[in-house]
Amino acid sequence: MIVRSILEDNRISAYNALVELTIREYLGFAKNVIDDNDFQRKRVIKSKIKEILTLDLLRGCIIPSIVLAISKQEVANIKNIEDFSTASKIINESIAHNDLVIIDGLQRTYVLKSLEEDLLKKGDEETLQTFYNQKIRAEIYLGLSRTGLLYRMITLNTGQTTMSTRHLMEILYLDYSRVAYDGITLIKDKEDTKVDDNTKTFNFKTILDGFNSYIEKNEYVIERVDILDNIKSLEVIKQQEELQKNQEEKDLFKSFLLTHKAFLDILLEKSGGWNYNAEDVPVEYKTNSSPFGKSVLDIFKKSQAITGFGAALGFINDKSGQTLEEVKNNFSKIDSSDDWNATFLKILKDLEKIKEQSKKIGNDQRFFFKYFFRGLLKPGSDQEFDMIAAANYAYKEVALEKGYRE
Amino acid sequence: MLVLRDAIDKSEHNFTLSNVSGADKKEFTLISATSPGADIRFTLDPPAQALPPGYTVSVYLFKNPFHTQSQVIDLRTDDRVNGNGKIGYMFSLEALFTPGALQLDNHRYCYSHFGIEFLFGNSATLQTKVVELTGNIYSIMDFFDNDTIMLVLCNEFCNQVVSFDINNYLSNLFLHGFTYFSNNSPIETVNDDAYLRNKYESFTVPVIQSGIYPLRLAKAKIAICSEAYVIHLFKNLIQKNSDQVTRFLMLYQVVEIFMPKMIHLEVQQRVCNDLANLTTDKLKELVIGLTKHGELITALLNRHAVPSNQLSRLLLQEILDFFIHVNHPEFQDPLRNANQTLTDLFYAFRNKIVHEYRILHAVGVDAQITEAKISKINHLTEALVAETITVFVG
Repeated sequence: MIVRSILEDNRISAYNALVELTIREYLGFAKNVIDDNDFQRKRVIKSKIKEILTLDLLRGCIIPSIVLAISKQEVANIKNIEDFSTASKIINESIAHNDLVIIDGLQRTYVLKSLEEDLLKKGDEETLQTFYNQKIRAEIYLGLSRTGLLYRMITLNTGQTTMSTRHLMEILYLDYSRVAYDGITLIKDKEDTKVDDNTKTFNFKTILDGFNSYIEKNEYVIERVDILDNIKSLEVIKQQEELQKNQEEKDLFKSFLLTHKAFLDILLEKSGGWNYNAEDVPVEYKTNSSPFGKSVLDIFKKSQAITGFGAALGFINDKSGQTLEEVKNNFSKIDSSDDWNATFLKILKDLEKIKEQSKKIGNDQRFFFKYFFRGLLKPGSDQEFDMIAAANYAYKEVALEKGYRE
Repeated sequence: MLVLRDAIDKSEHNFTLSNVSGADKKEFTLISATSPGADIRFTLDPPAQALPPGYTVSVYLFKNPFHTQSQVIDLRTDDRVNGNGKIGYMFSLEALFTPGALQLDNHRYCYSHFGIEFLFGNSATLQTKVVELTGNIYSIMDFFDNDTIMLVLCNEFCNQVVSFDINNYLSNLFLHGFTYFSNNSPIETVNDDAYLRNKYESFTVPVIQSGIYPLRLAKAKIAICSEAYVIHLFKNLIQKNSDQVTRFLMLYQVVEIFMPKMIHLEVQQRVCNDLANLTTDKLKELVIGLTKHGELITALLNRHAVPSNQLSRLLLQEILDFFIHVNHPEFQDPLRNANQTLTDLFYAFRNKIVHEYRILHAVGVDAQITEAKISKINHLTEALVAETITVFVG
């Protein structure tokens, strides 16, 4: 692999290195990038186009540059656009550690991989070697911030089948599911590891749902969006990150997760680690079916609660300019005007009433939590910091909006 | 099977069920031979349970404006003698994939599991939305309409009913708010009249702890419910938006189908069975009466397929209100109006909109209100038609 040129992308503050490499070199690491990232988009190229591209490759055609990205901090070591050797070193290290993301050219990669498999199966060694030795170009973004990476992914995908912001974020923040930080582990659905009943492990997808809700100010999980919406969301992330005073909090995703964790920790502390006890439920709070959750964490680590939390904090930021950090600093004021057992049982009863009357249970519960957190955390609200008042307010809002009967 | 369409050349890719895995929750994987690598996965939310061997299911789609997602409908019919008439269950499709929405015991879990297997494994797709192949993560509701209710029938139970056909029960299901639909017959309109709501709530209120609500369907009246037009009406027409006058005439066709049956029944029951007691004049009167459409409607609604008092009153009042609204000269006398029967008014309404269509557009009459009134009459007529088919004693 040879670095041929380095340019600086001032829009997203990153270097862009144009490299030449053989298909053998490329497939050597690209296969791992695909296999190791189950959020990378699936193969969508249609068979006819794949067929044509395959034939062209066998005839030695040049394919358009594949665009890759590395988000390693060491990129700051690159002195200037002439510093090919540092760039090469960083690229090679990233390849060795599988720390690359394909931001444009995934479908071409699938075709290359498929052709390699076909040739191996046929045992056509001569053609295989010719194929391996063909050169291709790749542009590698060095030192992209997450938002820069997202921006490039969006803009490079323009005109193609769009990805939802939610899906882009899955790719973007995937590394958080690989490495624990601040003692927190994010667990992917496919892993055998269980999401424990503590504030150290979280479901990766659920947190992403919540983060997406924060960015979109919308509690619903699946949003089909167009490119402009994606770019708008990106601007929100960027502005929010700039607003965070603490350097540690500059990563908005991480900041969102820590804010949610802080909320859970406060609730656990204040409620003495409340747990549902079926024998200690007053008649007015008895539920007809199994309750929504049986502990503080069981309730508030569910997707419905986290998306409601995200949407409410997004709303609060929009209306009153409060950052996540500022919201978090107020958590210690959270209390309830009733005892904690009654407070949680009231929330569970409300959630059951929603379940019994709803035509869309998941969405209505998310709606409930959005208003719950708005009431609880919006500066100056009548329910500010009062859990049970916030629950009453949220149920009234959902019943009114969704037309529930008394 | 699910079908995804290529965004560029519009070619279709069939995705069929290849694997069901997972211990706690079952993940269904669908793959396509023409789009390798683009697997689709869905996870059924209710915790997995053991599946009994030897059972197969059929699946049909419905919508019901009164149904809430947590309600599971336990469908039974008087046509099946065994098993207390049980033939299947109805589930909100979305609820089956929504965390915590449904808590199913082993019995109901099996229906939901087999139902989903049918949706994904059947050789013809049941999906009701066109979906583009994007490689993104799909939700079940990307493929099916909002509020889709999946009816899962146990084939082995249904086979215990002679010549079982779900089409024979569509009118009865409609009467409880369930409108059949499919990808060929999409839902364009639903009947959300309070009368149907009451019918639905008659078996779903109050809330039952288990969330399972038994709906018992009366024996299918084969003589009418298996009529080709009746099936066509409930499978393909009633879901569609149509001009309100046309809609009424479309519904009235069922009454027309009833008419020859009324002649047979009336002759059998009122003439043949009672011949010894009939004078010649009475006999002549009866037979002449059978040549009159109005008399036959009376026979239908008063003797052979009697609708509930509530429905009769509601429809009677709506038709009367309509005639008063359009200033029809025959219906301006309150005393005379008070003596009108449903038969009189229903037949009169049919005749007026056919022979005096112009009254709908009379000067000085608000056409929008006129249309709204006919729409209301149509909603109640849909209920009337469904109810007469259901209660017909032939």
